[in-house]
Amino acid sequence: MNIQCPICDASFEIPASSEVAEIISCIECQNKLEVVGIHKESAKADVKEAPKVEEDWGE
Amino acid sequence: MKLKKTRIGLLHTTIRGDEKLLIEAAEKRAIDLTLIDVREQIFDPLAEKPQLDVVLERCISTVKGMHAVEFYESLGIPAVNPLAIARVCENKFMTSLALVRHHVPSPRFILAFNEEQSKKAVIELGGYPVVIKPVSGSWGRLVARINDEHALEAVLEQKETLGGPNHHAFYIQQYIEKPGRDIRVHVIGGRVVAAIYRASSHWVTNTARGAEAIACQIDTELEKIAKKAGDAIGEGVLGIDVFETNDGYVVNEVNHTMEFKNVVRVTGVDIAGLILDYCVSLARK
Repeated sequence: MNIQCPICDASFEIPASSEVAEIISCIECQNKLEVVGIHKESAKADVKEAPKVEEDWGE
Repeated sequence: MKLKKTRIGLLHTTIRGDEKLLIEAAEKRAIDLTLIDVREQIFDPLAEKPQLDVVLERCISTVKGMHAVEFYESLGIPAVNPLAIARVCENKFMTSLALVRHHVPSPRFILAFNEEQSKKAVIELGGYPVVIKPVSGSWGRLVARINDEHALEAVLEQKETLGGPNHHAFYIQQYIEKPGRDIRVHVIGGRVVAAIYRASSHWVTNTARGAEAIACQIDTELEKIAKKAGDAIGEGVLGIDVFETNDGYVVNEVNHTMEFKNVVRVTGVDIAGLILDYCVSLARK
């Protein structure tokens, strides 16, 4: 699936098995992105900048 | 006769490699897995009851995960881990108290609310260095090794001035000299299933802080102490952090939404499959 980085505008492919809410890294600017929509028919996905780490994050 | 698929709700926020492994493992089993992004839910107990047999909580946000579990448990849907376990594990003081109550060897610790008491407590713990940790926190963040009283004063002042109420509870732990690593042991449904060393030249040995994951053979003593720690916290899916000392193993912390992709990578143990099998065993009949 093709995505466009909202930070640096790079366009690149992510695996077809990607899930909504999955975190990926931009291959150009290395920023973390979150998948927010998948359009299987057009083989495209929407992404936004991933949320920043919050105080209660962890395992 | 066609067997009914177990319906598992995977409660999540962002999806990490660990959750991807769970999704893959569910596809190989007779499991109907529903991804539930808790950030997008409205938790309304008067709305239609979710058609789920069990929920598996995998939220990266402790606050969101605990509220979601509380909601589903209130509807009679069992959760992995249950809220009772999350409440103990999300607070290091409560975890330490549970370990002491069940006679699980662990580093000495105290909790105090002011500088004067904290200074006295350090003497009780055997002197400097000590380690100060937020009572709630993970991945080794905001953990400080305190080498002397000056450092203690500085860190406490910063916590009191800059931190929220949780940071005004000073959890102070005896510093344990480690052999450049600690051990993460995974206990699922009371069974010790895998362990890794987390090796680092830094005194903080979380993999989130760059420690290297190396497969660890589970010896009898390690299995015994991990099982005992698991029994102290409650049956569920647990990641138990263990230090090696000259006097044997001690349990440092217990995690209730453990990350495991590195464990799978270096040990080959199908942690995701074991977690799902455990969830199926707890599903509403």
